[in-house]
Amino acid sequence: MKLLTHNMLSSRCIKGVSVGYPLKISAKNVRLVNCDFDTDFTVRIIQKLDWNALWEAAESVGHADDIPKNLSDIDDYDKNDEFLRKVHHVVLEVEVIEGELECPETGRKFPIEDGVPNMLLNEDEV
Amino acid sequence: METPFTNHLSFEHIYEPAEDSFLLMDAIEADDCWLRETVKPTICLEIGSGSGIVCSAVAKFLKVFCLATDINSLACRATRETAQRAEVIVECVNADLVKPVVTGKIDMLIFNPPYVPTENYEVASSNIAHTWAGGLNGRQVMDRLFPLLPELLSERGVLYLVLLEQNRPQEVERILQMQGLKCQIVMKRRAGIEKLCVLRASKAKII
Repeated sequence: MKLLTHNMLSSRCIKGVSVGYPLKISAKNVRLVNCDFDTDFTVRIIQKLDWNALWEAAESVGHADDIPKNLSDIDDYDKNDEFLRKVHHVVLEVEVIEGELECPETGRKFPIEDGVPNMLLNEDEV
Repeated sequence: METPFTNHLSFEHIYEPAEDSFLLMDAIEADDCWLRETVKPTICLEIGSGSGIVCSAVAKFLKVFCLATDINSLACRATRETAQRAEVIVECVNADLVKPVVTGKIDMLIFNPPYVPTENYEVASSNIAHTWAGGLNGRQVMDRLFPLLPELLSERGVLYLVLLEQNRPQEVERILQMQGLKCQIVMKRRAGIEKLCVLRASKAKII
C-alpha cells in the first residue's frame, strides 16, 4: 500500500463513524520501490492530497523528514524540483507491505497483507 | 491502447477478460482526446478490477494513478500482477464497491459490474458467480453505487459503466441524470447473445 493510496482511504463506511479519516498506520514491514518521476503528475497529485494526513502517514513509517509538516512552508511548490521529487518519493515509493490501518474513531483495525489493505466490513458494521 | 497480458493468471476464481472488458477499454480509448484535454484525470478508480486488465490498460494509456477495489482478495493479487507485467502502477484494495474511498477525489470511475440477471441469492456469492450475478434485471450491485456517485466523483469526474440491454440502460440514464450527471451511451456491441453497451456519465463538460 503506497502512502498515496492511504491518503484516499477512510473508515467512514463503518456504522457510527462520522469522519473516519485519516486512518492510523502501524507498519510491520515497509519497502522502498522505484517509480519514474513526472513533474506534472506530481503537481497534480499534490492538489488531490490531504497534506496533514500525508505527513502523519509519512511520520508513522519513518519518512516525516522527507516532507514539511505544512505545505504552506514551501513557496511556489510547483516549481520546486527538489520538493516535488521528495513528495514523489513519499507518496509513490514507500510501500507498507505488512501492517494495519486503524479507524481513528472506533479503533477497528484493517490488516494490510502483501501490500493490499483488507477493508471488508462485517455485516454488523455496515 | 495496449491490451495488457493476463496469461499469467488462472481464471478459476476471477473473471476472465471477455467482450465486455474489451468494449469498456474501446469506449475509453474513443474518448482519448476529451479525457486528455478536458477531464485530465489524476486519479482513476476501477470497481471490481478482477484480472486488472482494464485499469492496467487505462494506467498505461492515460498515465493516470489507478486505484482499484475488488471484493475478492485473489482478484486484488491478480490486478497487481497484471499491472506489474504491464509496467504500470495500480493499487488494489480489498473492499466492497467504493466503501473505503474518500469523497470528491475520483476523476475517472470504471465499472464492469456483475450485470447478468439472476436470482438474488446468487449475487455476492463466494464463488466465481459473484463476478457476473446481478440479481433482478442484473441491477442489484450497480444500483448500490448510483446514489454514491455525486459525492464520490470530483468536479470533473466521469463514470464508464458496462450495461446489458436487460439492465434497462434508459432507466439507468434517468437515475444518473437525477444525480446531476450528464449521460450518454457511447458504445454498443453485440457479443454472442449479449447486447452490451457502455454508458458514460459525467460532471464535466461534454464536447
